[in-house]
Amino acid sequence: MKNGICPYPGLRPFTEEESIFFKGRDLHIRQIVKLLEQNKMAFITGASGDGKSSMVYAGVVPYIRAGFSKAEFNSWLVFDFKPQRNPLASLARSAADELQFSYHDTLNKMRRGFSALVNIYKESEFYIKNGSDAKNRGKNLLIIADQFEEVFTMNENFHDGTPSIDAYTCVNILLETVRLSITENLPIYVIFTMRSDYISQCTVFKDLPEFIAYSQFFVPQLKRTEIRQVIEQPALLAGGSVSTRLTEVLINNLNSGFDQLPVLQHALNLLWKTADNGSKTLDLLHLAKIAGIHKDMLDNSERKEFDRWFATVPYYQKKYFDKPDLNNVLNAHAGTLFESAYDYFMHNANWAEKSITPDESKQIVETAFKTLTKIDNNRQVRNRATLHEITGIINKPNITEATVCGVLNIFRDENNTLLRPFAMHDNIETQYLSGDTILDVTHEALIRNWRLLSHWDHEELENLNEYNDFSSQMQRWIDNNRSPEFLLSTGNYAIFKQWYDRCRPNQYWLLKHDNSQRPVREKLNAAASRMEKCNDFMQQSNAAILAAEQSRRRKIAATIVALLIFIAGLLMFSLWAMSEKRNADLARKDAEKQKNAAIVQKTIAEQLNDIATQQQHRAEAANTIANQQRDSARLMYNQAIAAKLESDRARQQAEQARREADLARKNAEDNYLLAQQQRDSADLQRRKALEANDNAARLYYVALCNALSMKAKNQYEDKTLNLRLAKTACDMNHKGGGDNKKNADLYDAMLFAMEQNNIISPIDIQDSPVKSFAIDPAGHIVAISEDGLITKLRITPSGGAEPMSSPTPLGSADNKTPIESAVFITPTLVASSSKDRRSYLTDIATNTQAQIPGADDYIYAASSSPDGDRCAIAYINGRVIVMPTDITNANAAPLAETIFTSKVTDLYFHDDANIYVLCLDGNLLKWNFKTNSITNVLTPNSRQMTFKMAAIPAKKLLAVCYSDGTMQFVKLDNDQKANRIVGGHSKLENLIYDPNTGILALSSADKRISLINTNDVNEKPLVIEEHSLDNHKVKCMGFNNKGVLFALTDDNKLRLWDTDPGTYADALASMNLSPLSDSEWNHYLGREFSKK
Amino acid sequence: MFINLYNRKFTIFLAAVSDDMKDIRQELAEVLVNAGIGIADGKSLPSAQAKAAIQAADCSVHILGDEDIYTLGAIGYNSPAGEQFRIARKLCSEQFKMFVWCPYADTAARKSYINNIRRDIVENTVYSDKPSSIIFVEDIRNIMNVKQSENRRHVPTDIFFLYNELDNDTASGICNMLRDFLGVQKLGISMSSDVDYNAFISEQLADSKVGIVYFNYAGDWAVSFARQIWKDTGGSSSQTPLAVFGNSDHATQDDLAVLKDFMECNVDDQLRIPLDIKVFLDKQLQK
Repeated sequence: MKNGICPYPGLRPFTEEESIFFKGRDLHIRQIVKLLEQNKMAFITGASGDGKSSMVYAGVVPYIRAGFSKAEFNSWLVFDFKPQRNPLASLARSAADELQFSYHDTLNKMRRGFSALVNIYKESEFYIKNGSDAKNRGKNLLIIADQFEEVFTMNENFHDGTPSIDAYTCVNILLETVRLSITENLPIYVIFTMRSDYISQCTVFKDLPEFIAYSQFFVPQLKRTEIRQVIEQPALLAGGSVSTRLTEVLINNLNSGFDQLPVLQHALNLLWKTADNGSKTLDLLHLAKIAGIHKDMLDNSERKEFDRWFATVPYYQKKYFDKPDLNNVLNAHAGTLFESAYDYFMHNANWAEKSITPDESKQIVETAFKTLTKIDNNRQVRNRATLHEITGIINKPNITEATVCGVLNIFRDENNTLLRPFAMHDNIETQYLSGDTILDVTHEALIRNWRLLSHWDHEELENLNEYNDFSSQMQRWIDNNRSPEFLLSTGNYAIFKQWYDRCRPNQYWLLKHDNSQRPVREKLNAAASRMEKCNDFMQQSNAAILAAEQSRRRKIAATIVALLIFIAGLLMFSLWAMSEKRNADLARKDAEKQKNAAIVQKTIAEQLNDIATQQQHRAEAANTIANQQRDSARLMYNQAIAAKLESDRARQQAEQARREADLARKNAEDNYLLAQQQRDSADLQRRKALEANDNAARLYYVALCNALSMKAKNQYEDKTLNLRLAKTACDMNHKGGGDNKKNADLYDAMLFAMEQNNIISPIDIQDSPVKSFAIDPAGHIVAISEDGLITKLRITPSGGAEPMSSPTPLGSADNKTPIESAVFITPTLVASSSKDRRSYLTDIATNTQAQIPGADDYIYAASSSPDGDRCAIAYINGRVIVMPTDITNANAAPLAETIFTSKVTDLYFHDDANIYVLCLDGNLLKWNFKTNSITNVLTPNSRQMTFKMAAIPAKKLLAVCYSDGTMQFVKLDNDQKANRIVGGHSKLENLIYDPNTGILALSSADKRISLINTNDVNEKPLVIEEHSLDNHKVKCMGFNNKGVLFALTDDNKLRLWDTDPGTYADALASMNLSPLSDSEWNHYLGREFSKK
Repeated sequence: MFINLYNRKFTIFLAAVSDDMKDIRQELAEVLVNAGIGIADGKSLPSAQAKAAIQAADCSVHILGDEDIYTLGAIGYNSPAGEQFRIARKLCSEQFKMFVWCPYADTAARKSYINNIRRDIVENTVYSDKPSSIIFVEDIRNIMNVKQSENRRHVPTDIFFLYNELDNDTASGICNMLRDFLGVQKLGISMSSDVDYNAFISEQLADSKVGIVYFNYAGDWAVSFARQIWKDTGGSSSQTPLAVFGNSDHATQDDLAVLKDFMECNVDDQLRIPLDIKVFLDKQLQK
């Protein structure tokens, strides 16, 4: 099937072409077809949004076309109509188109009612009464009267409880057609679909109630199983899928009642697109992304993905995620389109002039949707309107029909389909609409679920109520010959002015609310006339109010002016009198003042005359002195000028000298720095050269060491030669500065040489095969044999072992049963199983023993708690128990126990509550024995097995060995994986960690032991090779407190090695071994390597 | 009959619950009895007997209580309610129906715990948060009364050949030619027949390697018919590929354009149609 076909149509009904995805109504479709076969008609009623239209177009029609119903002819002619504003005209247009007659003839014939439609069908080429090929050429006729409630909701069809003549005729024809089809057995079938809340109004049509009762189908609410089909089947048909959990969430979150299906279909449509057009399984994450559920419903990884995606969501869209819900999906979608309509318009409508602001874009959408909806008997319903009418209501010079169309296109876009007709991306004609195109809300579910639209509707209702009030006052004014007495009072005018400015009514707005049955043109003219009157009423009311106000103001002003004039006259007279008196007083005072002043001035003049004479004498003396001082100053000035010129010259010379000195100093400094740099560089080069020389020398010695090590691992007749070669290799390594601990070849060579000379040799422990051993704090070996005997051995200075006492039975002397397994929990505490499947805990120090109750299999592994009070014991059958280590309490029931499905190969008692459990199938589990919960810590990538693990407390790590030779480190503080290293070349079988040296010893199936330094796991490990184990496999291992590794091999011998190669190097140095002669040197290393 | 009489008798295993749900469990038990549903009581059954009782029942119902007993690793994990929940959940993979009911989620902790359960819903598990026990039991009865398809007479074959009775002559000719080397079941659709074609075709197609819709004169019918059976037999998820072949004397390729996104369709010379069908079959068998 072609990819990308969305099997969910969204808010619009399924079309006949989409019938292939229409599921959930199979039973109902068959029931309707049965009604049609029996009764020739089906009156389908149901609640708004329960899918009546989809059931007919995508269910019944394809079903009968496919031949699944009984009918006279093989083919079907289906025509449908919606009553709209003229049911008869709609029926006639549809019938004329399908039956191939002219519309006007058909309409004229239909105006006669009754058998008109049957006659037209009989006259058509599709009704063939007789003839051999009648069945082939003839066509059965199916008439679908869809949304029949429009007969009642459209005011043109039904007003004041009375149907229009055309509506009545239309119903008459349809009912007569059914009647004739029954009586004459004609292949004509009629389907009505109607909202059930209008059923009571059907009584206004004669006979219609009887026909409804005769063949009604009330669309049932979908059952849970059917809703599941609606959700899941279309996706399956289209090659996609829906997760079970999403289906369950959708079913449970779906509100019962109105709009169940449209809300669900719309959400599914968005889900499909969100899930990359069905290429992913539709799931909860996608529902969260369309604001259908809260992100808390998602798991952690999905929630992170959601958060990443949400950060990219535009700010205006985020508010819709505050209260996510299935019903909110449609609200969020419509709200987002409302917010982005402006951008869509600017980017897409290339044919429209773009001279609007974002706010105007929102106003266009608001006005359009207010126009396309109305409240009818307290129900929010659709109200079809043309683009021209909407543009008219907006009534702004810069907003044309093209602008309105462009802004609304986002709602008509084929991906959104919230408004009809839909705009197809690949068909420009559907994008640009003419003014007479009727726009319609796709489904009333949008009106009920888009909260903003609901709000607008209620606002519009308030506007209408205000208008009705206004209109009644205006009518009173008109009825009284437009008498000024009936104009609006100031208070009323203020109220209606507010409404007028808010609602901005015009003739198109009045037309929308005109419920009369007149033709639209007539109604528009009446609305224009009414609007003129409204404007006139408002203007005249305003003018009258203004005129009255002005008159009142004029009277007040005149009174105020007269009063002011009187007061001003009085004031002026008083001021004049006062002024005259004041002038007389002033004249008198002036005369006295002038007389006194004349006397004073005369006295002053006489005094001034005396002073002037004195000053004249002083001035003459001062003039003489000033002349003398001026001559002296002129002389000093000339001298100062000369001195200044001299000092300037000297200063310039000094500055020049200083600049030269600075330059010279700077040059000297630069030269000094350069010289220093050259000297440093030379030093560096010299040091590097020396270093390289040293390195070369060291490498030379190390190479000699390695070459000698290789030679030392050969078999020679003179076995001391191995020792001499190994010793020389040690010397070379020492000279080369090599670290013995890091030189695996040298370590192996030393071991080999010592083995050849029996300096290192295996130790026989006892006759009976040893099951297990441990090393006690004193360094003594405690071994347990298969026949249940404990032997304690001391290591002799020569490297041998000698028993410290004769073997004693494990536990009580009367317990002679051979043992199957023995595991040292601590060096002094052993968990063992006898062949007869009884299990014991034995304290080696006191050799006291207690039987563990409830054991039904052999013990395989055990581990002690960090405080030593408890231990965990694993049986071969996967059972793990937690016991006290106190022998006296061992008989009590286990502190905790559980059973693992896989065989448990090792345990690590980590802390007070947690035990790490290693399973043979490669899984590492963590058992919280207090809560009895198990978490998976490690799961192997492939089929790998695990046998042993060891904790490295100092590093807070746990090392787990795998059958492919690798070793995985796990962090104990968070159970996360750390390094994974190669521990050996084949299956890793045993593992032990020495806390004193930090060395991890790993034995592998290829009979080697690797010694890994846990302080640097990337360092090349020392290896105890096959020859050191005499080609035997290791059964178990142990470290003493001096870093000596003990290994029990399958030849029942104990081998030990010091893990510090320095010990062997010192031993070789202390031996009296002759150095290699020149000829030996040349023989084993070649002449090109100088011995010196 | 337009109403469902819900006459299938079945037994539901009523699982044990945590203490806080005991009253609700009792109420549910009474509603189930009133709805005519048999109850297998799992209140005090040990785990071994509980498993047998769940297996013996037709379905089970589990009421989610306050205790977090259904999640691995939680306290109370080993309670009877938790154990029975897990036993039933395992059986879901074997077409066993399990109903999980959560009548309320009043705290944030409980909502979070319920979210965990809802995230882990598996096939054949039905989750409901309807607060009314009656609505919940209605859902149970509806789901458990889904009509099973009747066994009709259909035989395994290579080609299931469908045509309109108008094209009976030419269709028979094609079938006769194909029958020489292939297994063919043919069905002519008659508009005046009482046969429930829909159900029969779905079952016979499932037993055929390919389905062929053929037409000579009945081109209009064939397009509608092919779309309808494509839908009824599972569409893209169907195991049996479908093709439409018609006589080029009475139709063009454009007439079948609406089908081309969903199935193979071709018009050809009448004589070449058997070969076209054979090629189509071979191509499907190679896939």
